[in-house]
Amino acid sequence: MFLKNPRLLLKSSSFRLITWYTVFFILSSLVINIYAYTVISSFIYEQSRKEIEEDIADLAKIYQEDGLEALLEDVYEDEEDPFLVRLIGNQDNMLISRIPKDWSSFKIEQLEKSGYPKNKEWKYIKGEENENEFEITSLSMSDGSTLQLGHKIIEREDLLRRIRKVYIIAIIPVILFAYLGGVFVADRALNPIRQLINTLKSIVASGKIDVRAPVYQTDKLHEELISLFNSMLEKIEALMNGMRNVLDNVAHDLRTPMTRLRGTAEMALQSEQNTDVLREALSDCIEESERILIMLNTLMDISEAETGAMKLEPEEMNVAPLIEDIVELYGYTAEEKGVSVYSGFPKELYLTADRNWVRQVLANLLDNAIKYTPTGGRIDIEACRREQEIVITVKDTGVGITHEELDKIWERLYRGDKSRSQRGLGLGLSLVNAIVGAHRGYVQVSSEPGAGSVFTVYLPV
Amino acid sequence: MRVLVVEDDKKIASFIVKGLKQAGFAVDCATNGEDGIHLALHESYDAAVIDIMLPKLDGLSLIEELRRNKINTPVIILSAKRSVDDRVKGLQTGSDDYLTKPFSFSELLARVQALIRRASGAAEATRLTFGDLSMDILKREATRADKKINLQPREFALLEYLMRNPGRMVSKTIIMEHVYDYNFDPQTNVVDVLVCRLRNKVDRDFEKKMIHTIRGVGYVLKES
Repeated sequence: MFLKNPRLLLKSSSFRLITWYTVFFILSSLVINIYAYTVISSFIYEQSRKEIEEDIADLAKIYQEDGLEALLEDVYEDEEDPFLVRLIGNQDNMLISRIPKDWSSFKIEQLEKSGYPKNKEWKYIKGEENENEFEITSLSMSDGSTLQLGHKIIEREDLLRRIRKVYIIAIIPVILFAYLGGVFVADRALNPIRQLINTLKSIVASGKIDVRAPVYQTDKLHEELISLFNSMLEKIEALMNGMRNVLDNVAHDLRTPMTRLRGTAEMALQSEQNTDVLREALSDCIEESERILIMLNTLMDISEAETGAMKLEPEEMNVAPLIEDIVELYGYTAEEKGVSVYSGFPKELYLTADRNWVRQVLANLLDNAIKYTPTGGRIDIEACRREQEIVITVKDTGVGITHEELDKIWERLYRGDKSRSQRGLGLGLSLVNAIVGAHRGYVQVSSEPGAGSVFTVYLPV
Repeated sequence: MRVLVVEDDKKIASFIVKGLKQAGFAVDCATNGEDGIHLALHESYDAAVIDIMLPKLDGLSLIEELRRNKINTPVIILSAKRSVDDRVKGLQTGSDDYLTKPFSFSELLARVQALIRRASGAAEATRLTFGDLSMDILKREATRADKKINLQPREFALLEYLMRNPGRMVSKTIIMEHVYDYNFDPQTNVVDVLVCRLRNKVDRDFEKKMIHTIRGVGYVLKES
């Protein structure tokens, strides 16, 4: 697939990784080699020139101290001496010019044509094969004459040439190593990502979200990416399951009231066409649809809160005036029922929470308490701050909850009131539990049948 | 009084139009946002009922466009979404009220009437009378047939609201909003209890009942 489209190949991160790795590897080995070569060659140069520089200093000393005769004698003393020695007088007259016997390829014109080296500098002279074969330096004397000394460098150049050759040959395995290293690195770096892609593909293909990508501990970055990805999958899975449950539950819970609605309408249709009866039935229908709507909304709220899909708007707020409001709101209701409500809490109880939902929690708890407390009973609402929590208790002297019922009261549509003499949907406490849970708090209940119940809400500040 | 209705669901639109006409309004109806904005810009209305989800141009943009053109017709938004977010967004855009589907027509009518009344800017009377009922808002006194009725603050507020809207349907939600200043529905029988108490004080000793219940919808103050 890649080869068919070169642009795709360039875009492939594996290809790019390999290329970059190879290029960097070759470049860095080149840098190292060039550096090594420079060090070696300058060392060799230095060594070979040092000898000549010492010799020329000796000769200059002889000339300046003992004169031309002594220098001539010294220069021609050993015929096998492999050095070129020339002394040019201050009138450009050649005083000494000794060329070793085996310097057959040396042409003096070459030197004269290219000019003499300056004082203490070096000059190359080309040989027959047009290569640098000789090297000459010069030294100015105090009387204006110039001493020149040269040597054959063909061996030195040969050595360096060989070193260069070794380097050039070594380039081939370096490139190979670089490429193989690149492949290895790219594979190691991209394998976890490939696994991730495979996991994703299988999710897209099958729609099953319970797959997880394998976590590699080779690389912190990959490990983090994959665990993040996995935890995201987990969240999505929880949310999807939650949504599915919501739909199932809502559909199930709405069937009963929908059936009632339909039944009422059907009965009315079948009855004799009496306007009053029909009006009554229509009113029933409206009431029932109102109830369905409330139920739907509450069920959605509960399910959203339970699955974490509830949109909370937390703010720093004082819960004390909120409790006062709710107690006031239910004032008449309690009065009508002959239940006294007492409250005791500090004036300031700050926490971060969604105001409307906390209000709903308080309303539901108080509503519940009034509903299940007979005339003459009393309800106590207390609140305080305990370490990092706001604790709100609603205590009643109502009918209480039996031991078997204690766990069931949080279930949706469960109603303690078997006779259905009290209005309600059986969703109030489920909603309380769900909202408090969504705020990372919890609700506790303790009860003694016949003596009353205590609901305690713990909300983190 | 002329009202513009912009709603894409034909059935809902037709029952709103029919109801508003029965209540004595002249009604124009558009079924998409573009037609809606066209009508709103070229005609003059006392109020508009606008759905949020509309084809071609959504309700919020429509209202923004209206306000940009300095048209301050009071607007009620209709929405199938229930979240507080949407409500706030709607009110920020420049709508004046918000109603979630499904809604009762009586509630919509009550809100349209309230908006028009508010927009007309009539000063609120401090003495109210209806039938043999009368109230002095400043002295906080209420009487029926010249007999003093002792009312507690919330009861007084409810009666005041009913007296200011005689003959009109008042839903539980509206009472929650106006008497308790609550914008959320605690889904309790608080309002029923309040109305029941008020009824005991206003109607119990009289043959003629003034506060009537419309089942599933709300309450109305009228002389039967």
